[in-house]
Amino acid sequence: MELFVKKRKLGSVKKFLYILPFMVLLGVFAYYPLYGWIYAFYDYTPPIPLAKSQFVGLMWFHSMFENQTKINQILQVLKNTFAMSGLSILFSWLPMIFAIFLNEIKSIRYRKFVQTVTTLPNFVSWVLVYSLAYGLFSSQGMFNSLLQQLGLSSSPIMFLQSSHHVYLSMWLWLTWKSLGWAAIMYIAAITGIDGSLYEAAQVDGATRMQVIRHITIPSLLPTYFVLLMLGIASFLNNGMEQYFVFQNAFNKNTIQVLDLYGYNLAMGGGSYSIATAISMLKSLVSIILLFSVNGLSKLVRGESIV
Amino acid sequence: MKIRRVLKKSVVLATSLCLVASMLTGCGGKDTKKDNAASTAVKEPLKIEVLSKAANFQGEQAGWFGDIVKKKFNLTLNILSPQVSGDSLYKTRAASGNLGDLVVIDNSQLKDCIASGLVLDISKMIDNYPNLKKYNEQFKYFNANFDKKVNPDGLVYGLPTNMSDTSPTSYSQSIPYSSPILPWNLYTGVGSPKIDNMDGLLTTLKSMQDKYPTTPDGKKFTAITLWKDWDGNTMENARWLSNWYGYESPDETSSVMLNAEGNVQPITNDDGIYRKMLKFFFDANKMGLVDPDSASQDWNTVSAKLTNNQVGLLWYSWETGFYNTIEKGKKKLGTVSVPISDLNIIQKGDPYYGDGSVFAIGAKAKDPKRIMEFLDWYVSPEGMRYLTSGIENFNFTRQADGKLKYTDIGQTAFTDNLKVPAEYGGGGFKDGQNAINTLLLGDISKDPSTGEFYNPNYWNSTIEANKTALTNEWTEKYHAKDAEDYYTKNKMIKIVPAINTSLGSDSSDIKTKRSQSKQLVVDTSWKMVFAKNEGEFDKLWTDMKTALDGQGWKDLVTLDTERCNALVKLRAEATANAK
Amino acid sequence: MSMHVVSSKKKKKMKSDINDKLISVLNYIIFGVFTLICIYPFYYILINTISANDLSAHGDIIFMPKGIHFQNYLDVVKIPGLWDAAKISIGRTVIGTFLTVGASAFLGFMFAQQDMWLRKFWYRYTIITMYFSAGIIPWYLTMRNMNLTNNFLAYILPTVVSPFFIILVKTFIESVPRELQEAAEIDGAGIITFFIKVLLPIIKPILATVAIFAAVSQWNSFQDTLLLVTDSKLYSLQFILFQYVNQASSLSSMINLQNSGSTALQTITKMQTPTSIRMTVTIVVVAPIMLIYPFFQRFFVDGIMIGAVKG
Repeated sequence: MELFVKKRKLGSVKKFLYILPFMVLLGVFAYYPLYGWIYAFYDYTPPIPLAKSQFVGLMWFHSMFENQTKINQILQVLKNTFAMSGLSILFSWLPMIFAIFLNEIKSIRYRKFVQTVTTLPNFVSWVLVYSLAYGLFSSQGMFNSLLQQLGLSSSPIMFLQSSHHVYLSMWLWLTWKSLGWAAIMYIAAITGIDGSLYEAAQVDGATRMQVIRHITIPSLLPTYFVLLMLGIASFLNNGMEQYFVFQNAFNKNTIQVLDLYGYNLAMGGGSYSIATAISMLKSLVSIILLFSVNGLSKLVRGESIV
Repeated sequence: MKIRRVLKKSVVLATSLCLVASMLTGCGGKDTKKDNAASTAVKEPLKIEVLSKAANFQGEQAGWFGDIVKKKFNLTLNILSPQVSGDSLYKTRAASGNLGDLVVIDNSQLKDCIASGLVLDISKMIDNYPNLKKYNEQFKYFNANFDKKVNPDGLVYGLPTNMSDTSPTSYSQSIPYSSPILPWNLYTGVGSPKIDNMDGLLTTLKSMQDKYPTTPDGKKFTAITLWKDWDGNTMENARWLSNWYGYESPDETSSVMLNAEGNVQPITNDDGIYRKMLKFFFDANKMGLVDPDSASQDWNTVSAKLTNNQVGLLWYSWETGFYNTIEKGKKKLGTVSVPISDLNIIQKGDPYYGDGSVFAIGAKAKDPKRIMEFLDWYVSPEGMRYLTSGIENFNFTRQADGKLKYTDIGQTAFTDNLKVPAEYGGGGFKDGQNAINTLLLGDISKDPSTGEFYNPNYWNSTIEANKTALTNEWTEKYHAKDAEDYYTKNKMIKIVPAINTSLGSDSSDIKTKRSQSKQLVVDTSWKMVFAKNEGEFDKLWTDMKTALDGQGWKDLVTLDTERCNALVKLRAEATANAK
Repeated sequence: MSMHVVSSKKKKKMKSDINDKLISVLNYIIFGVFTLICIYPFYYILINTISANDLSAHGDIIFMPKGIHFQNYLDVVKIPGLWDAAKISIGRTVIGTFLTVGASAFLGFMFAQQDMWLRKFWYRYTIITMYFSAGIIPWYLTMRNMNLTNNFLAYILPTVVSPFFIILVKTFIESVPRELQEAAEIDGAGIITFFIKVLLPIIKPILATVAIFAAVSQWNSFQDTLLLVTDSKLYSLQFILFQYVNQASSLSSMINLQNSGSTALQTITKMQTPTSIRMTVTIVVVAPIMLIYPFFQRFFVDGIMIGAVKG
C-alpha cells in the first residue's frame, strides 16, 4: 500500500516536472520584471536612476483622488468603463449564438463563406475604422448625403460629435469588429461535441431548436463560463485604441474609459510613475474580481473555473 | 529513472530551441562589428546608432545620402526614431544607460542626460574641427546659459539644432509664421475689400463663402476649417491666431501668454487675447463660416481640403505650399498674405542659438572622433549643400555669377522621388534623404561660396522663377516684395529674440496639474466655439475658470509668470548684446 | 397505434417542419445582412487602394473603382527591406505558432490532470499573469539582461506560454471522457504517448483555433520590435509597414514646428495621402492571412463529424 501511495505521489510530482520549464519561463518573463512596480513609489524619470530619484510613497495613488474635481473625473471615467464593460458582459452570449446558428446553415459553402468574411473586420485597425466611420458619418459623409437626398433631414446630423448614445455606438463598433472572430472558439467547441448525442436526438424526433436547447448549448456552457469569467476579470481593461480614435471635445466625457484616461494622463504629464501606479491598481482589481467570480461560481454551479 | 527521461526530454526540447535560434541569430549575440575586406584605405567601417527625435524613419540610412556618408567616413548610420517606435524607445534606452552613439534630443531631455552622465563633454574637441570651430561661441553661449544646476561649468554637451548665423534679433524669412492668408482669386472676386479688423475679416470671409459656395470640382468650400490633432496646452488653432495681436505661448509654459513688451497674460483673462480668438471662431460659426466637421476630422482630411483650395482662411506660413504652384500663379490662383489693418504680429527671430533640440554624443559612443568629423562635415558648406539642396549638377547647378539655381529635375526631385544617377548613389531622391531629419547649422545661414542662404527658397534664382502674375499683382497692390517686408514697412510686426534655453523643470505635481488643466482648456475651447448662443459661450468660460481653480490653476500661473519674466530679461539681454 | 395519435404526431411534425424552414430562412437572411456589413468596408478599402489617389482622398470612390492603378501596391513592394522583413515575419509566425500550439496543448493537457502536484496553485500562477504587467522599463531591462535584444528568440520565447490558449485547450480537453486516458494507462502507454498518439488527434478543432489565433497574433505583432530590436535585419514586416504609414502622416504633423524654413516642409504638402497608404497596407497584411485561413478553417467549420471517435 505504502509503495502504491509513494508511486502515486512520485507520479504527480513527475507530472509537475514536465511543466516546470514552462513555469520557469513564465517566472522570468512575467514575474521577475514585477520589481519594476517600485517605480510607482518614486518620482522616476528616466534616465535619472532610481537611486537619485525622490521617494514619494503613495503620492501618485493619492493624487488621483486629491480634490473634488479629480474625484468627479475618476467617477465619470469609472462610469464609462462600467457601461462599456457592462454592455460587453451583457451580450457576451452573442458569439455563442452566432456559432450555433452558423452551424445551422445547411450549405457548407455558404457557411464557410460567411465564417471567413465575418472575421475580416477584426483585421482592420481602429485607426482605419475611424477613417471609414468618418467617411460614413461626417457632415459630408454617405449617411448625411443619403438622409438629405431622401428629404429626411435638412441639416447634417453630427453623429461623430454627439455625446448621446456614445456607449451604444462604441459597443456596436466593437461588436462588428470582434463578433466573427470571437465566434471561432465556439465553432471549434461545437465540432468537439459527441456526435452520438445528435444521433440519439434525431431518433427521438427532436426539432432543431430542441437540439440546440438540450444538447448544443449545454455542451458549450463550460467554454462560455470560462470566457465570461475572464471577461469579468478584465472589467477595467477596455483597451484604449478604439476610444482614442473616436474621442473629441464633444464626446470625451462619455467616451473616456479608464485605459484612455490613463493614456491621456501619462501622455500629457509624461510621467512613467503614474502610469505604473494605475497599472498596479488595475491588476489588483482584476485579480480580486477573478477570484471573487471564481468563488461565486463554486457556490452557484458547484464548479470552480480556476 | 523516469525523472531522468523527463529531464532528457526537457534538454532535448531546449537544445532544439537553441539550435533553431542559433541558426537565425547566433544564439543571443548582439550586433558586432565585422572587419570588411573591402574597407576604405584609412578607416575601418563603423556602424553607429543615431537616436534622433526628428527622424520619422527607423533603419539603416540608405540611398544617396547614405552613400556619401559611407564614402567619406566609412560610416553607416543606424537611425532609431522615437517618432516611429514611441517615446518608450527613449525611456527604455535611457534607463539602460546607452542612448546611442549620436543623439538628437530636446532641451529637457538634455538636462536629464547631462545629470545622468549619458552624454559626452566635447568642449575640448571642438577646436580641432575647422567648421564646428566657427560656431563655438554659439555653442558655448548655449551650454553656459543652459542650466546652471546641472552644468555649472558650462561645458559643451549639446550642439543646438537649426542654428542660424544671422543674429538673435533678426528675422530672415519672407512671411511671419502665423498671419492672415486668403485665396487670392476669391478675395479679388469679392472686390479686394480693405480689412480693418477681425470683424472685417468675418465680413470678407462671408462674402467669399456666399459667392463661391463650392470649388470648381463641386466640393464644399468653407471659410474656416479647424482640426484637433495638434491641440497641446490650448486649442492650437486659437493659440496661433493670438500671434496676430502680439501674444505668443512661450515654451515650457501652459497657462499664460506673453507679448513683446513683456506683459504676461493668463489664458483665462476675461478680456484676454485667447478668449477674443475663441469669440472670433464662435462668431464665425454663428455666421455659418466654420466647417462643422472640424471637431471630428483629422489633419489628413484638412490637408486634402487645403490641396483642393476648399478653405478660406489660412495662417501657417507653410500652408501655402498645399495649393500654390508656379503654374497656378501664372493664372493668378494661389493663397497669399492679406493684411488686416490693426495687426500687431509677434514673431520669434532667427534661431541664432538653436531651436530647442541638440545634437550630442553618447557617453558610450564607439568612436567620438569619427562622429565629430561627421558633424564637422554636417556644418561645412559642402555638407550643408547636400543637406538643404541635394546633389550638385543633379538638383542644382552653379551659374556664371557663382550663385546656385535649381535644375528642372531639382524642382520635382523630392515630390516625385526622381531617380538619382548611379554615380551619386542611385535610388529615389526622396528615399535617400538624410534620415536624421534635422540640421545642426540651420538653412537660414549664408553659404560662403554664394553669399545667399543655403535654403533654396531664398536663392535669387528661385525667387525670380517664382515670380508670376500672382506675385506681381500682389507686389503692385501692397508695395512690398513679400509679406514680411510689408509688415515691417507698416510697423505691424515685432520681432522678439529667439531664446533657446531651459526655463526650469516641472515637478511631478506641476506636471500632473498641467496635464489635467490642458484637457479642460482644450475641450472647453472647442465647446465654446460651437456653443449655441452667447449665454452658453459665457457660461462655459466661467465654469472652466472655476474648475481650473479647483485643479491648482493659480500655481501654474505663478510658475509660468516667473518663467515669462525670466524670458523677458533674457530677451532684453540678447537685444542689448546684438547692438 | 390509433389513427388519432398518428395524425397528431404528423401535425406536430408538420408544424415543426414549418418552424424549421422559417428559422432557416431567417438564419440565412440575418447572416446575409451581417456578412454584407462585414464585407462592404473591406470592399470599400480595396477599391480605394486601386483608384486614383486624389479621387480617393475626396471620398469619391464608394461602389466602383475609378481611375484604376496599382501604383499604391507597387510602392509598397518597393519599400527597401520589405522582403527581408517578410521572411522574418513568416519565420516567426511559423515557428512561434508551432511552439505556442505545442506548449498550449501540452500545458492544457497537464493542467487537466487531476493528480498533478499542486495543480491548482500552478494553474492560478499561470492564469493571473494575464492580468498584470510590470511596465515597459523593467520588461526591457529583463530582456536585455538575458541577451534577448536584437535576437530572433525575443519574438518567440515570451509568447510560448499563453494563458488564454492554455485555458481554451484545457476546457476542450475536459469534455473528453476520462476513461480514454485510464484505458491507455492500463494498456501500459505512458502519459506522453497517450498525449501524442491519442489525444492530439481528438482535439484538432481547438488546436486549429489556437493555431489561427496565435498565427494572426504573431503575424500582426510589432510592439516587440519597437523596443527590443534595433538591428534592421530583424525588423518584422508589420514594423516596416507601420513605419511606412507613419512616415507619410508624421511628415504632415512635423509641420508643427515653429522654425520652419527648411525645404522639406513646402514639399510635404504634395505627398501621398496617409489614408490611402493605410488602406493599402491593410490589404497587404490581411491578404496572406486570408490565403492560409481556409487551411485552418476546415478543422472546425465542417460541423459535427468526430462523434465516432468518442465511442
